[in-house]
Amino acid sequence: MTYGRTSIIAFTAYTCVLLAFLFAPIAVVVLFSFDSKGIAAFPFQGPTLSWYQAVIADPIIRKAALNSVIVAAGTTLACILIGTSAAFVIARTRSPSTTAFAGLMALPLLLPHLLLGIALLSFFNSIGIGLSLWTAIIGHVLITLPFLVFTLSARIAGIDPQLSEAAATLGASPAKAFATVTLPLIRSAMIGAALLVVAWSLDEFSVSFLTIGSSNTLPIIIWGQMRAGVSPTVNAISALMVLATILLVCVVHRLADLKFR
Amino acid sequence: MTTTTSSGPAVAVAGISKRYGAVQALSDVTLAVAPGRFVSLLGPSGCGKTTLMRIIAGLDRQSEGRVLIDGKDMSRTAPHRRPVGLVFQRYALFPHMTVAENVGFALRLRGADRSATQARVQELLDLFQLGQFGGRSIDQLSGGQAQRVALARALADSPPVLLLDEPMSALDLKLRQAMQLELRRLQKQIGATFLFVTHDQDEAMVMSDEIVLMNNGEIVQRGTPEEVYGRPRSLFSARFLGEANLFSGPLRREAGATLLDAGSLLLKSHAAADFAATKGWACIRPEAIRIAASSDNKAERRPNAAAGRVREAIFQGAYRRYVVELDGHSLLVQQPAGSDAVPTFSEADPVSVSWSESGITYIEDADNA
Repeated sequence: MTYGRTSIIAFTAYTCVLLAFLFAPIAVVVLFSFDSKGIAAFPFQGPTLSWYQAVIADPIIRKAALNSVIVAAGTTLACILIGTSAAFVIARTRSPSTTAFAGLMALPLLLPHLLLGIALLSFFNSIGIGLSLWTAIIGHVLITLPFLVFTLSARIAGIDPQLSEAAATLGASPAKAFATVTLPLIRSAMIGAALLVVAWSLDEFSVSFLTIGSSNTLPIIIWGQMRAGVSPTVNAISALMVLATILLVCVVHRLADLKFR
Repeated sequence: MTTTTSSGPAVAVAGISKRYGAVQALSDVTLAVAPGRFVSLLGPSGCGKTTLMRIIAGLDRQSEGRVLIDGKDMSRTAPHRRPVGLVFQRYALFPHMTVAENVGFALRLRGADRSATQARVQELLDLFQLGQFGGRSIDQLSGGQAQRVALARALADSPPVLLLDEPMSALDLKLRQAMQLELRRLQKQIGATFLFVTHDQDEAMVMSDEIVLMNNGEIVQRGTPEEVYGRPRSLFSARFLGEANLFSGPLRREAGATLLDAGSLLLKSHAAADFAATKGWACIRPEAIRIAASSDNKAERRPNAAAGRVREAIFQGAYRRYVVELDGHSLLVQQPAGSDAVPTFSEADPVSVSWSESGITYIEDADNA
């Protein structure tokens, strides 16, 4: 099928508008993070790195960044440990209870995070657990677990269960069969799912805010600073978070490529 | 893994039953397979043959009964500790490994050294005419190649027993026939015990030293292909293997002979029926019947002969088949074609048919027929 000149031009224009819609706000944030004026408004006054210097020098922001990383890493690890077996159950068993289980697993996707945050807060209070990074991790796991479970179970459902049996008849113990056959086949889906979890955890505000107690994560810092208007440091933090996300995706993509033919 | 050391059966199952909820997949199956034999588990789909094979491999757990491999009780042994290989119906090759990595899987698992593994893999690839395919990925293989890789992978660590689950069913007819002979030669060459699951009676007859015929979760007959085909012990056996002319009627024993009265036909054999009932069936294979020209349509009733007319004449290349209409019966007859010594007939020709005593097998009239 060939397209006429007009439709090619129209399609190109559409694509450009769509990309602009998606990325213009981010571009504006990044642009003003380099503006020396100090308020996010045109015209652009002059390039500076001073906002970045301020961000990097600020011990509160550094602590919050570290907390964000700790919570994201802890959440991802916990999700993989808990979620992989749940994904296998959903992918490999067919029964009414499995369907019910899958439905319950999906529920946190539908509930408002603010509501979940409040529920967690009163839950932790009622059983006397002090708020900390740990409780924030528990909250994040609750939100992100469905992403991991359903991404992974979709992949597992596509793997012939006889592959594990074949490995067993060739002398592989269940653990060996998992390590040599199943894991390599779900590795890329696992990495993709973990990336989703990291991205959600880094970004998550309402649950973090309600369950982390006196500690901060980057979104909480941003929210705190935003109350005094959009400051250039907020732009710099946001730009750094965008950069970190892009780097993370590149590194993981490269790793996945190397390991998986 | 070692080859069979004792002279007892390579594989034996005793009193194996398997229930899935209310469904009885196997009931009280007992079977012993001598080392070095090529044995087929033959039966229609759902007869329990694959379940039995999976129980021997340890992939399914029997509800009752014992599994012995090379004399050792392995009823509760995990599949990876049983000295049996398995070729899956859909091959189950590992998609993230090359052909060579698939074939070498068992050897790498047991920690064989690199050069020994490589040598063994190459030996197997050469044996299966896959010499240049070692580096290929699985999705670049044809059905026949994938099947040979599955065989090579299962045989890599020389298991004394190889189970094969309908491995030919995905191949086209020509390739399947070639592989049947190849597999049989291979089995004789390596001397392992092969337990071959199939629903294809021709395949079972071509390849097996012994056929174990199964139906409804039970073994209904076992023996050499000649025995099972030539001396069916039940209506199921008679019908499942090849084609059969079956006649029922009262049985009478006189002067060392057994006679079956099927109305217009009288069947007589000096081979005694191995049961005492006074009613039964007689089975005659189509190729055991002689057919000749006849104008005499009103011959008196003689044992093992009759007169009738050809209703259908079918030419099938290597042989001709006739459906002969008798008084109250129709008879399927098969004659070799391509020989001037065998007369041919057309529809509506009057013919006489006869058979020798040895062509008759009496079958007990059982409820489960």
